[in-house]
Amino acid sequence: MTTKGMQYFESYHEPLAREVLQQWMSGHPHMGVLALVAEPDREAVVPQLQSLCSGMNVPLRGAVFPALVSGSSFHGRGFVLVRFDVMLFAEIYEPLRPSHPLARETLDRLIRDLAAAPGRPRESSLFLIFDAMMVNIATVLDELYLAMADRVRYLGVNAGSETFRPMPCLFDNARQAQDGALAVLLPDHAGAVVEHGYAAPERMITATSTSGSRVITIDWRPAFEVYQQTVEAEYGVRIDRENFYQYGVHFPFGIVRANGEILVRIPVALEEDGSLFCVGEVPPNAILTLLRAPDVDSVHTVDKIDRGLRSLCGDLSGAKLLTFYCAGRKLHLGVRAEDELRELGRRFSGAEIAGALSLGEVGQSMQQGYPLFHNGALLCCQWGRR
Amino acid sequence: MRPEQILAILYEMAIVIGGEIRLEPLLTKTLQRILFHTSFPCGMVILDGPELASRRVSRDRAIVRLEVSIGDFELAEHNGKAIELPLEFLRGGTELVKNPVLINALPCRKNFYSFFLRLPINECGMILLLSPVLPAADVPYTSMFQTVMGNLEKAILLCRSNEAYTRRLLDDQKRAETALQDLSYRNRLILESVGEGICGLDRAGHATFINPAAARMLGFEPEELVGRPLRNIVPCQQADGSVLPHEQSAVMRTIDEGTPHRVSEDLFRRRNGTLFPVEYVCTPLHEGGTVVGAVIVFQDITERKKAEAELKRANAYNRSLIEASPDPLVTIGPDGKITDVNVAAEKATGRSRIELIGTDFSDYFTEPEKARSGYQKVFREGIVRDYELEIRHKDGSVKPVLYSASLYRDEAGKVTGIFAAARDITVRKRMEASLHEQTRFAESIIANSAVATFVLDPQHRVVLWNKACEELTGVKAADMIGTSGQWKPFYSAERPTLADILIEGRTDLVPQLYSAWGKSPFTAEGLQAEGSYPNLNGKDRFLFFEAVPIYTSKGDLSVVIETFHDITDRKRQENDLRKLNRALRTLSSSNMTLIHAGDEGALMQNICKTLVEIGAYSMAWAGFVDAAGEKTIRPVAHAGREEGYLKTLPLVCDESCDCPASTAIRSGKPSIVQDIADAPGHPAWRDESLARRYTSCIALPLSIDHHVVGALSIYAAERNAFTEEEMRLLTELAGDLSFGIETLRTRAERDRAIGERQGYLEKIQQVMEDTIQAIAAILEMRDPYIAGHQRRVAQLAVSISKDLGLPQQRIEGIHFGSLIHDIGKIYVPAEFLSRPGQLVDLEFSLIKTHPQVGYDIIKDIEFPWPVAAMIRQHHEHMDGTGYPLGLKGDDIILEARILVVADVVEAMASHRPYRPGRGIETALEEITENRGVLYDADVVDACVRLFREKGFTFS
Repeated sequence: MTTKGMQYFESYHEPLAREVLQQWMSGHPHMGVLALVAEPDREAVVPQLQSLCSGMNVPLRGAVFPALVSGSSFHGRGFVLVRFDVMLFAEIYEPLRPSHPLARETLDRLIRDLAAAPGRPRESSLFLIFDAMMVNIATVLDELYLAMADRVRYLGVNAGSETFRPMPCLFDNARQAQDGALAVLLPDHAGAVVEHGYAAPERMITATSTSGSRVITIDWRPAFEVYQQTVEAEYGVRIDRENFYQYGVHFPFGIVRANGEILVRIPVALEEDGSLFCVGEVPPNAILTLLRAPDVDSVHTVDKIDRGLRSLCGDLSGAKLLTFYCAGRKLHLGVRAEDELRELGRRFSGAEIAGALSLGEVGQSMQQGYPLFHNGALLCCQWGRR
Repeated sequence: MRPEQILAILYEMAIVIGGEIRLEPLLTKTLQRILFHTSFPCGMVILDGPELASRRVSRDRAIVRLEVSIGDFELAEHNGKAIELPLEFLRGGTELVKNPVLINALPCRKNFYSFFLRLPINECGMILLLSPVLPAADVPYTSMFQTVMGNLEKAILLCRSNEAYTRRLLDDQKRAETALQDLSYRNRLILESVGEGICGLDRAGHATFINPAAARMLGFEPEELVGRPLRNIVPCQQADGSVLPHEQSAVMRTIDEGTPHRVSEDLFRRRNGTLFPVEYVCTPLHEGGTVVGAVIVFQDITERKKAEAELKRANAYNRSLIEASPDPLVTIGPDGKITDVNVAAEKATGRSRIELIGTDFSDYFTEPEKARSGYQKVFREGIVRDYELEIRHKDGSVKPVLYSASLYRDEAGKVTGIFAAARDITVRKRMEASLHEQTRFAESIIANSAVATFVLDPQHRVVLWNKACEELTGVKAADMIGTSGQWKPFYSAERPTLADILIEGRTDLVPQLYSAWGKSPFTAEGLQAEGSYPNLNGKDRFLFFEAVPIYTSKGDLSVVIETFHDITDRKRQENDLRKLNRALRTLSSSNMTLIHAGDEGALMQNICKTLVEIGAYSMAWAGFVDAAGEKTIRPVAHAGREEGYLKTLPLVCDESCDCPASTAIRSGKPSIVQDIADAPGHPAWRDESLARRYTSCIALPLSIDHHVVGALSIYAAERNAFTEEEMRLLTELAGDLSFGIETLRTRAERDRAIGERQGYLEKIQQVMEDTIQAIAAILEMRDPYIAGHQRRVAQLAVSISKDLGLPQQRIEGIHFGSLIHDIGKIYVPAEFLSRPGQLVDLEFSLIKTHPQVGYDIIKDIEFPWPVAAMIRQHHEHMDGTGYPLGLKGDDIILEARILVVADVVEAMASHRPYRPGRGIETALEEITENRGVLYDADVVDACVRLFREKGFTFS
């Protein structure tokens, strides 16, 4: 039984979980726990973890993800416990859904709390776990950066169901919540590296009109109509509501930035009116490119993460690496995703790796730069103080 | 990066810029999008250029305002504040500079940044981006954002214009709201402070407002009545006691007919079910020419009704006295016809009252000629006494009588007939036979009578002074009998009593010596009189005298009997009642004056006039405090016997003037002098008052908003003229007058406020028109190829609208909407619009967004016309093939259907960047061919008519 501070459990076995926590507590009496729970086990595991941690006076924060990462493998079931050596500022903020009348007030409270939280400016990271069903994540990031600027570094992921079913995917010792975010302030933290390696294709499909996280029209025709025709022409597959997510990952939208980078937006749901719902906000009225079966440079991705992390943290042997792998990326790459994860494990063979399959990733293009919301990316950061 | 990718970024930036109408969000969002698209972690916006720097602190440094910054929390603390920075940042064009030392001069993170990118916003200011490393970029940022900066400059100008415009609107609105609130508050105060009940009703007769006086009279709390129908409280009872149907009530007729109704007497019902008499006026409320409800102003007339009942009772009493007389009494008109008789007369003639009235009186005497002669004598001499006649009964019997008659007059003193009384002389003769015995008996009765009586012989000596007389005068009979000192108990100097006057036959002296007098109803020569005696046996008394001469059978004067009663109490009551009636009449009449007052001067004059003419006061005047000067009192109206009195008064508000008006203004309370002759300190105004026979006076303060603004002064010819009740009514009158003045001033103020508001509206309209003209000018400046396009479209659209017979207001909207219908093109990258040649698909797709973009820009500006909808729909087609909404037929507003035709015709007829003009004929063929398909058929017809029949040309 490891006591390094990251532990994957295939299933919930109370004595085993208790034993791990007790071991951790013996060395870290003021510790807390971040729990990452696989979606299929949410209903069974979350209440039991809440009960266990509360019984042991261990602060618990956590989120539900489509699947988990441990070492070089993906796991469809179970849960991961990650230890805060000393419990940090970590609170759930909800509601943040823009249509909710208290959303603005909640965001202001988050900003106030963060500004008042201890930690030296520019030496902490703000780790955000959003409910993936929120349609205004980019706006929240805009607001946070406007208010907090470079006081913190920004990293984060989206939690929730891979089928994009609304559910309470955030929890602490006492409650389960949705339409919000779990904000964790990591002191003396170097930030994360986020990379997707998606290349902009040679050809792009023409402009589309969008609103919020919805793509309404492509080339002035209903978005889904164009989408169906394109996929059928390319793959010979008739796309419908059921198989939409399966094929959508191969036809993501791209927001082109002036520096040549692309923000990927994977369409994940088909709305009643024929518009396409993406995870993550699309700038209002933006013109998107449609990335037709984009190439993903897996080697380049892992290289950049390797270099980036070492640049941020130095020697990583014996470190704990929190790793999030985009669920859409995994679908798009298929078996190559396992290879990519294995390569990552090989590069950081001396480190312990745990995390989850995410539904969106937040990072900065350069450390201290503008926080961006990605799809299709890998996010890695060291867990614990530098 | 490929051009399409750059265009996508530029387009998105342009949309962000175009989507804001306020400066702060515009700058913040633009900066956010630039940081998003580049790799710069930090950026800032400064709108002060080197020339605009508010203060130079040295040759190379200046103070500027940091509009907004993002990405550096130290810098962000200076957002919206002045910062000092090297002028080098502000000088120069677009460039990427490596200069960590210069950047360290900024109040930002130290020793971190090395590069800055300067993006001038043309002449408006600049954006500075900071980065610790050279940001990666496929294209040079310096040239890439050039177009966006052009858009940003225009957007900044528009935002500034819009914010100034919005500020003006808000200021105007605030001023208007403040004025209205103030007006409303003042009106409410007035309504709540008046004594009359006031109820506001809606069209259905439900209460919308109840003032406290109305609620108090009705026995409710105001909130209990608001929203409820008043039909149960205002039942509208008819004279016969039945209740009118609700719809026929004065209230509902007021609402239905839109004209005021006055009801002088009706019954309202209190909460406890009891009824009380009211007088009320119901006035319709108009709004925009429509009756929206009514206002009832009512007053409780219970007290007035009591006074009227008292008068009626007094009349009935008088009648009963007449009827009780055993002697036949008859009144005869100037034409000799009987106008009234009593029961005794009916008995004497054997005919009923109805039979007698209207017949010739002489017909009932045995000697009609003699009767007529006596009647004429009365007219000649005023009186006839003991005129012997014989009445003939219906049954033929004859009865000798002595007739006495006198003239009677109406209130104006005009003779309206004679009053005649007959006395059966048979009885008299019988009585004369036993006169001696009776005389003794009478003396005994007189002596013991409860009525004070004294008797004089023809030599003015007192022969009898009874006990009641002793008691009333305090003078013993022993001291009086045999003397001629009968005047002594009553007067301080010798003068004749009523009995003395009868003895002397000097009835002409009576009016000089008594304030009220008359003939005795009992004897032809008897006299009655009243007098006031301030100190009769130690008391103020009012006495009623009656003196009757007694003659011997030979007709010689035997004695004169004078009786007198203490009628002090009755007189006081009568006096009070009279004064009360007078005050009520005055108040009622004044209220009518108040209701109809048109201006302040007329109101004051009419109130003074009413006080004199209706209230019968000697003089009334009103004056206002002239605050602009030295606190003087400025008379504004007077009525009655003023005789230069006001000029004798100092009329200042300070202590140097002690006239009642000045005192009332200083104290804010009524100032009353019941006897001017006894006014303390012998003030100068006393003599002036007495010289004009003013004996008492009251001055009432006139207040507005608890500030005394003047006084109403009333002078009476009698001492103690103002009873407590009368003072209360006059005070109420002054309150009403204050209300009237305040209402008139409020009305004037309201009229002024309405005028000002109209002025604001006109200004707002002008500002909107200016805004549109400014936007149109920017659009045209932006695009050299379509310069004038919008203006020509507006010209054609207006002509089509006129041809279609649209109203002027709607045509104005079409004019302005057409002038800016392409505003959305501001945000289409300029090079698309002005680049010669065909547009590629992507470019055309971008251009197709301009109706929606234009709509987004305009939609939050409140125009009185559907300008935003016109802009959004000006590329829609009747068959649904247009964009951006794909609307069909009547779903497209008429304004847009006109605009689309004008737009197409102008566009085809004029030269375009990518093709030469095709000419009017081609344009008309296009719209004719698609008449009813793409374009509205009526609009197409009008357009074709204009060109082909009415000689329309673009100017």
